[in-house]
Amino acid sequence: MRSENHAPIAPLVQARGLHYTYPDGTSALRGIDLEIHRGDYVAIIGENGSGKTTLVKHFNGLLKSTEGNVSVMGIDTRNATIAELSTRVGYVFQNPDDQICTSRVEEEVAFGAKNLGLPRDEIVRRSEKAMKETGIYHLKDQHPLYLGKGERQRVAVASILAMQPEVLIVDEPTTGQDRRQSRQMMDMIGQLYSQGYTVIIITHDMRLVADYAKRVVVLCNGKVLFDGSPADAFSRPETIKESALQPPQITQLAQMLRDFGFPPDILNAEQMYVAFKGIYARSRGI
Amino acid sequence: MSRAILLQYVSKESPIHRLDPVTKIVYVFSLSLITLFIFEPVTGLLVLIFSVLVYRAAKLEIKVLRNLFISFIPAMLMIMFVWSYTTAKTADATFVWRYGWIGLTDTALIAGSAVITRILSVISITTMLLATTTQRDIIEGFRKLGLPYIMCFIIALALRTIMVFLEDYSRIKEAQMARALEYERGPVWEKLVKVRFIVIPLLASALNRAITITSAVESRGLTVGGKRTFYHTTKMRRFEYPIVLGLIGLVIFVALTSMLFGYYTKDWFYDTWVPLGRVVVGFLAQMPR
Repeated sequence: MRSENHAPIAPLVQARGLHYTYPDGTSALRGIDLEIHRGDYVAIIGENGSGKTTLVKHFNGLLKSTEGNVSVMGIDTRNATIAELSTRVGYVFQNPDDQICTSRVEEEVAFGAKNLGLPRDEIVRRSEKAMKETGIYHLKDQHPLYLGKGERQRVAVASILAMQPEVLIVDEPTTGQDRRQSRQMMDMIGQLYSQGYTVIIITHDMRLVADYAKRVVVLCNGKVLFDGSPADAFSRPETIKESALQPPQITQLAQMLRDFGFPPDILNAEQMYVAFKGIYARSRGI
Repeated sequence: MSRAILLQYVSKESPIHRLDPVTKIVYVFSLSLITLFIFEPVTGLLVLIFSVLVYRAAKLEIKVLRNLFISFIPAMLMIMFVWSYTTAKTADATFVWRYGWIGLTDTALIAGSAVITRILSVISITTMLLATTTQRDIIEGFRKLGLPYIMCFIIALALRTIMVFLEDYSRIKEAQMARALEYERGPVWEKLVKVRFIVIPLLASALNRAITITSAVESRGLTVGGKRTFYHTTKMRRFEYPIVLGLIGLVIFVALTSMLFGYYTKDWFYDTWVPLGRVVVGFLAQMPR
């Protein structure tokens, strides 16, 4: 499904001069230009209130722009219903409890597909596939509200996958979960990505951004402050300063040791090890 | 992120905002009480106009009130027609308008429109209180009026819950819409059935929140009874006392005239407002052009 050369292909999601003002007068987005291509793995980061959630809500039509426009696979979101857009862009909400309304995991996963009015066997096929993809097939007869937070989050993802969108937006998939659960969740999203989904995540966890995302969009006061690779994002002190974000600790350490010849865009322990080995060898004249 | 504008404190500089919460609470209760004695529309309309004027004096957006009024139109029409149907067989009811088996009787028209002015007045009055008084001040007002602290606390929680509930509602609605739930489409019955997909998560979250609040309150050692002191107090200014007394006097006047002389009823409407209306119309007709 994923195209290797995505340069000439039209973007899946495109925002042009996007402005959004809430009814109470808060200006949340102030001129966003952004393209999401097939095969992207984008992390949208920024402070609370920087407009992350407001931005992604435009991608599936939950919000309609006050100025500028958003198109999803060539369709202007202002002219499409949320139901139509949900088969193209799936949006998993932050709190899975906001949507659980049935008494069995299987029914919960099938909810979206049912709303699309698909034939029964297609609904069953899709929801079984979604449950297998998210690793909750063995829980299909359980009550979703009695599952753990991580599992409920998976149920929410599965119920979106059953609508077979091309783009998957996951809003803060790891809040309230321990390190191990967070990793499992991110590994699952990573698997979905390698199966061909285009993934957009919103997160505050910079280590997860460094380890998983291929592209980072930094939002600050409703504007795109930076758009590029995670290594680039964290090695720019001015971007970091303006958006009040903290790079992963290992990156901070590398930046402190810059005078000793450490590159400022180190993202993980392995890269640190390689850099250290090189510098040590040079200093010893080996 | 969506913010409910309704029933929320609006920070503005106005004479109403500066009033002591006690004055405003007395205003809310006295006017609401007065409306209970009114069964004909003209006096009702006077109360409504007064409450809307006070609302305006607080520099609040009339748009909010108008939208609230509009949302009550179906209920109002329902009241009128149902009452017409039930009063049609009574001796003193005459049909003003009739089409087949539906119609409007004068009893229903007079009592119904009185009820409508009542509902709209109470909406304006309470919206004004909630929009011009912070929740902390409302509670302070009730406390100064002598309500036990535990009751004040319950009111505070209830007010807070309304806001949280509205926020939850809009978030859950969005989450279900993202799963292709089109609850605004289809016939009425289908819509009602679809509402359960919003109500169930809403109830679940309300229950969870109740548990959280209970443990939070207990862990802070809230106890019923005993003497409490308060950091935050408000003070009534001198001119507010006559306002409060005047409002209480007005309630007593309306209650007495209503109970002793049968004012503000359908008959009183025919005896007082109708001749008065004739006089006014006659006077206007005689005026030199």
